Amino acid sequence: MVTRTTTYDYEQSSESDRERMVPIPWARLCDATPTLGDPAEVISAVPGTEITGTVINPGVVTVDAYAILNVARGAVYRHNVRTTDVLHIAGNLHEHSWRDINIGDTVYYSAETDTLTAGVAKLALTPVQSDGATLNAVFGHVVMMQDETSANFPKLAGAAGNTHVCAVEQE
Amino acid sequence: MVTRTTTYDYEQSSESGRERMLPVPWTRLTDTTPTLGDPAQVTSAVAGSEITGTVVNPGVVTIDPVAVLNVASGAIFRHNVRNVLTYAGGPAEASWQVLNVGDVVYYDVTCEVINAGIKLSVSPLNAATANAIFGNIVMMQDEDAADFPKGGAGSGSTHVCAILQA
Repeated sequence: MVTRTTTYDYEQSSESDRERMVPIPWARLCDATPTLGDPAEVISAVPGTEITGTVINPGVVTVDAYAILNVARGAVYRHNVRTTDVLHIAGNLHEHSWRDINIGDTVYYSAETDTLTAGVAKLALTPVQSDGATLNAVFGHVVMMQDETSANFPKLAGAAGNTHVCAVEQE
Repeated sequence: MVTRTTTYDYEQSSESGRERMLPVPWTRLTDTTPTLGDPAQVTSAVAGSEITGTVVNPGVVTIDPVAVLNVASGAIFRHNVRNVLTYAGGPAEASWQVLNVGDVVYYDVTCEVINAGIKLSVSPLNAATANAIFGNIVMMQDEDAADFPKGGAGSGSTHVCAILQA
């Protein structure tokens, strides 16, 4: 299990001048207590259409309750990604199935995964929430980290789920 | 009610080198008489899949009827946004919602017709067909959280918003 220690690590800087920094009030973030380097999602009235990005500056509430997100498409950051494919709500919220993570796989911002992993992983492979209908927003796609090769893939689903550090190219 | 006067105002320029300027013939624009700074949409055979962007240069018809659009994902411009959510026959506005940071906005031809040129709204459907996503609302440089939400769910209104292009 990957620990909660942030994976904050910018993965790609060969092409500059392409970042998109946007200030967002904490009250409009799905996780209202942002952490440096974590994935973030801005609340929207339409599930699946949310702004997503990486927390560049979480802000300081006593000064100004805003976080700065880099929402640039194509920016690559290391994030914890959960192998969850399907979530169920029957009984208690729980993971139902998992699958391997491979280069190119789409990853989604999953607030339910954030809850289930106590904040370890906000990203997962599951496109819909546990009700089977509400869409998760696409966060990006898995690519290789700078110190990885194709031999590092696939990253295994695990019999009861796994969390892997992955380089994620932002959508 | 916000007037038709353009809101043209680039909201974010601290990071350069990231714009995407595209020339598009007027005949392929949903609004064939483009206005500087307005939202624009390029006609597509599949509703909801259209290219959208902001008119950076509307062009001059006697020389070359081509407009230049900035279609960069993540570019932020000020635009007028209508808070209409659904339509009834007529068409007429049937329901509305408040506008908040993060809300998705669409290029909405029905809104433009009803509201004298206001091209963006929070309505995902244009009658029965899908509207293209234009972007999401963020704060303007001179705004803070106290400026939100904008409008009310009980009636229609138009507000200037910073839009992060999809």
